[in-house]
Amino acid sequence: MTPLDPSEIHARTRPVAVASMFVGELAWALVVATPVHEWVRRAWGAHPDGDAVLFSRGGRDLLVWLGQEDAGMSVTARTTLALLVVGVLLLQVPFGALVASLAFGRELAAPPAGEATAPTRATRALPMATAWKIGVASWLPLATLLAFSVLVSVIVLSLGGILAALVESGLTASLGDARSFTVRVVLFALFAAVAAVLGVVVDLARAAVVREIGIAHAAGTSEAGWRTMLRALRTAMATARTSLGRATLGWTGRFAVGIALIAIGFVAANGLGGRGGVALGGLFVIHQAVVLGRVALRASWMARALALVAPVQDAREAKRSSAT
Amino acid sequence: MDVRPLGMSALVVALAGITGSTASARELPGHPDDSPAADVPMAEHPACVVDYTLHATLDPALHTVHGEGTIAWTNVSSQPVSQLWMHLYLNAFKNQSTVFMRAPVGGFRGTTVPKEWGTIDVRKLTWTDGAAEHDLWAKAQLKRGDDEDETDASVPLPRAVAPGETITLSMVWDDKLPSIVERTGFDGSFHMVAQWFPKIAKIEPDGSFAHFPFHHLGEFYADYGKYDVTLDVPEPFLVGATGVVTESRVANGRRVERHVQDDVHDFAWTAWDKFQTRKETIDGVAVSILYPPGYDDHAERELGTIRFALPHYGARYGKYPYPLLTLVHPPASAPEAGGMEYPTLITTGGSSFIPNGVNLIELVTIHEFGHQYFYGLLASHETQWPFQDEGLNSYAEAEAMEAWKGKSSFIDLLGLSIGDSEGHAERARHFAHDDRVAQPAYAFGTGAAYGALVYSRTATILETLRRVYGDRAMQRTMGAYARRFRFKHPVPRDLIETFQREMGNEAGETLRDALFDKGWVDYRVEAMSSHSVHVAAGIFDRDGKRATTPAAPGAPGKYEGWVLVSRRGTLRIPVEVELLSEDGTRARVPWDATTDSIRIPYAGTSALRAAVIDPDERVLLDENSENDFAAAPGHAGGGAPRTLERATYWSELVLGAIAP
Ligand SMILES: [Zn+2]
Repeated sequence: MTPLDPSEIHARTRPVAVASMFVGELAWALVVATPVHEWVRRAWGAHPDGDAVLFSRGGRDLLVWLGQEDAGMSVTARTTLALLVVGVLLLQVPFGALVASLAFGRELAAPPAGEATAPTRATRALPMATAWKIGVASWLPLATLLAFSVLVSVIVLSLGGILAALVESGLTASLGDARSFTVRVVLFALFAAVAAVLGVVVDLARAAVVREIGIAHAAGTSEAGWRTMLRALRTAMATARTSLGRATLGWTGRFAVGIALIAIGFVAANGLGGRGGVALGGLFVIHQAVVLGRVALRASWMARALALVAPVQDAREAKRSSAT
Repeated sequence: MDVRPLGMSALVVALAGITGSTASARELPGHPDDSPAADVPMAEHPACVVDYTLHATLDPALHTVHGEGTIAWTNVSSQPVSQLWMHLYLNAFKNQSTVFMRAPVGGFRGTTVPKEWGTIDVRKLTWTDGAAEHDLWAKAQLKRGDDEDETDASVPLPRAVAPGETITLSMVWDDKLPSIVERTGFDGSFHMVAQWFPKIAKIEPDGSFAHFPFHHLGEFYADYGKYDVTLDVPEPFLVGATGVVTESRVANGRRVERHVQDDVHDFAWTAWDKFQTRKETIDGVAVSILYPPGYDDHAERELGTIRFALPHYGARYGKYPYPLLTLVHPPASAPEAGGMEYPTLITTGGSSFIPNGVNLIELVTIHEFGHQYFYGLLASHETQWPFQDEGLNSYAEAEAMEAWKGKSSFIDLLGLSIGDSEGHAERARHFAHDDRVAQPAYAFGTGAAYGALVYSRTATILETLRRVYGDRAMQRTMGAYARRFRFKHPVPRDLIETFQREMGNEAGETLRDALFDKGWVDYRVEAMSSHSVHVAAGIFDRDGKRATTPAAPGAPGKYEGWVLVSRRGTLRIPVEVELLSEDGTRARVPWDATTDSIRIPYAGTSALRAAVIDPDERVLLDENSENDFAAAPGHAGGGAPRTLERATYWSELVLGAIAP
């Protein structure tokens, strides 16, 4: 296996890796959905209209279901939350495999003698088994980076939320209730943007971690995960110093498309309401297309992150080996 | 007075998108002329029992009010009266030993311990009887026995006042307003002045006084009369008050306004140097709204609510008789001043922006406006029978909200649809067995039970009657009650007799049982069976001979069977049962529910698939709708595929958003 040149890193060349990430997400989502599905099925499943009653206008059965005083709600909520956390951690493995698959390739057998050499190297995707091995090896640093970025986001967003509420109440008298609420939203959005930029830097670090572990894997060496992680963070910072604007732009465009996809999913669900049968099947297809699209966008973004990180990482690595 | 379950707002966020629906346009409600109760006679004026002429001076820096004035009081009872009772309700906030403050019930309302205590001190109370001037206050008793409470004072008279006789008392008093608590007090320079003057308790026809201390969960009860009140505040302060302004002048840095109103039973006012104001004539009524700077959006939504409510309530319950209505939106820092009703003046509330689609502002406004009827014009005993004002008013609120906004009358946002009536039903359901609805406010064990039973269960009982016996019958009945007892201080019996007369004995009995005897109902599908019609097999002795009939396959396309439906509880509310066949046909069977159960016969061209009780959700009182249906043995219901699909999708979104 060989690290790809930045110009060669594209999500569109890795459909199998993207699809397996999607399948992994769908599979775990079905597990996460099991408690709430069972809770509803037990309560309303025997109704001839099934859970369509929860969608009726006025929401009477919805309120009755949510208002039950048994343990259904708390057991379901806790279990779902636990499954989500476990899922987020587990999914770091296919995610690592996806990034590895994006970052590396297999060189084709040398062209027969006498034929002209192509201007760029022809490569094929890594075998999925190799990608998964790198994914497993990357799990700990990826999970740690994830925990770190969640913590930072929560802090930034909480600060933003509190500050925005304070500013709103301070401005209501002079600006009016509607406009001061807008100020609150804008202010909070600024904090969210800061959190997003920090997220971009963490994504660069994710790309760097997997790429570094992949290179080590290819060389047959290995190093403590946290050292790799710290190095990756420094690489991400170095990359951010030169290309934070480009990286943020790349992330924002894809984020916007992702939001548009969610909006499409919402419009479809809202239009469908509580209908079942073929309409529900159609909604499932639309929703899954939205999710697949979002997985592809994420892959595309990580490809961009890898392309930005690769030269920086290689330069630092060259410096490091010349120093020793 | 009202406090809404604000938890609902959190629900909006939690459930956004779980339901899908679109609001459809609704027809406008009936024009006043079409009211089914328009022929019921309605008094134009009440008997005038009290005539208050008061002068009040506000010191906004010390938060005090100095008052002077007279009360002309007429003994409208059949007995001579030798002792008056006066309510000094501001003393409820005097210390922690008052009946109000020591009530063990938490929650619901009035939970703030005032940062500054409030008092009302009577300096003088005299009666000029011919040539003699009697000092009545010297012999007055503020405390009853060892009780520290000073909200209910007895005032012995030097001679009995004969039936029909009018006496005139002069008084001087001083209020020290508390920091805002229970709809009264100050917050900075904002002043909400209610329960602020010595007020004579209501005299009943038998000569007794309906006097009582200010209870934590209780409200008020008073005689009708005339209020002529002159308010004197610093010039920068805007004033909102009960009654029409007949004089207004600004001099020496003071603003002086005289408010005069007949046919009311209380007087409240507010003054603040930061009030913004808007005025609009709606349905012939001069409506003004006083609100904090910047709350234009709230103010517009509140005015919009009144544009709907004035004609709607006029058609339902008789025309609003006063020339003005004032809405007061208190500042965000004084939320306890909000959500309260006084004659011709209501307080609304809400501090933060609330998106359109969450009709909380509209709901609170319409609720408080509704009190102009169920409190203002009917004036039942609020502490003794709180359901008669808060409960009937909560029904009227939900009815009006649905007439205005449709089925999604509380929340219609991001596909989530919640009706106000459905919200009341759910809130009430959990308290059905805890306490009687019809009992005094102070008899409830908790604020939560009081709120759920008095407000929500009453609303749910009445909404059930409306859905079961029809909208027209309900409009007729409630319209007749509101008109017949306008200005008459109705008691519960008046309400129940009106239902018996207008809606029938069955409905009247349901109402009485549900209000007074913790009446409840839960329908259940117990079992069902069906099979193809066939000749009975087995050994038969007929005409002295024994014959064996073998089992034979049934005739194709002919099925028979039954559904066993039971009714638990004490209420006998008619209901429909829907039987569903395998071939998709649905048949509705009405059941009067006078027995504990019924075995409903089934006949059809295919086997029975399922049964559903009350498919149109008419009996909101039904304790649990999760047992109102069942699938026939061997049949599955509709399952929960929508939940599985949505929950899977949302989980994918969350995993995808957090993972990276
Ligand atoms: Zn109320």
